[in-house]
Amino acid sequence: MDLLPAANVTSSALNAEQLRMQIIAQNIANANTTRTADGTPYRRQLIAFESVMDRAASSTETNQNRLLQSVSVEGIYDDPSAFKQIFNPDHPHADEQGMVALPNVDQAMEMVDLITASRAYEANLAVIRTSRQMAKQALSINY
Amino acid sequence: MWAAFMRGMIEGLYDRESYQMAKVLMDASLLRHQAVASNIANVETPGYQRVQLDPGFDQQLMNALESGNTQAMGNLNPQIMVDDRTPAVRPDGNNVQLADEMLAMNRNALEYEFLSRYMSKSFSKIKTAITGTVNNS
Repeated sequence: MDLLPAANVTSSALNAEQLRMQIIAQNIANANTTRTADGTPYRRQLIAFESVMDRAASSTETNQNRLLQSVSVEGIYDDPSAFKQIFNPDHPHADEQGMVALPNVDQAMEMVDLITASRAYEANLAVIRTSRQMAKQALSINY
Repeated sequence: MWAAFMRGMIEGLYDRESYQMAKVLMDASLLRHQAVASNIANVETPGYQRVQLDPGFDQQLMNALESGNTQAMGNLNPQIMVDDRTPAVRPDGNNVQLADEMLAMNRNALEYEFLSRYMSKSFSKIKTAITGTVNNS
């Protein structure tokens, strides 16, 4: 029994959304990085979520709460789509034909993802606020 | 002997329909909140199927209420189950609708508030009966 109902489920989601926002920030920051450690332009990173059974709840309460699912980050992957090629012979990283490969980051896409992530974060904050309110009400039952 | 007698007396105070009902409903309300929390947490998880309070719980509660057996009412055990009836509206197979969940959460929080206040009132009534004075504090 936890004092704050479903606190670990909600906090796992907050962590996951926060990591997602960090990945988006990284993508936007590197939108023009034409060289990384392995010599290729920066590749857009994608984050994948998965739901896992809430371990704390499933071990303490045998048949209830077993279906409550926490969120965890399943992995961070490279976006396999092609790099953008632009013609810029003056660029130090241009090839013999004068083409420069730019990262496959689409600013608009990243902004949309950022808004989605922050809305999901807000929704989870609203849940934790309600949880707190409910816990307070339960504690204020007296005669 | 004395302890058993006292326990019987105290339990008698709580062996009322309305008290047992509020108790079960509060448990159900808390469980519903946890289900909503899980759904909102997984709003971005591909393939997640939303969970909800057993839809048959209302019927069980009605049956227990009609039987008038407070024991049966206290033994009701609401459960969470997977909702695989609501169709997924997104291509990733996730059937959570954020607006619906937020609405359900607020409605449920209000229900919980009502029940906790009802509980407090119910206790203060018992106290009034015991002491014979109305305590407004």
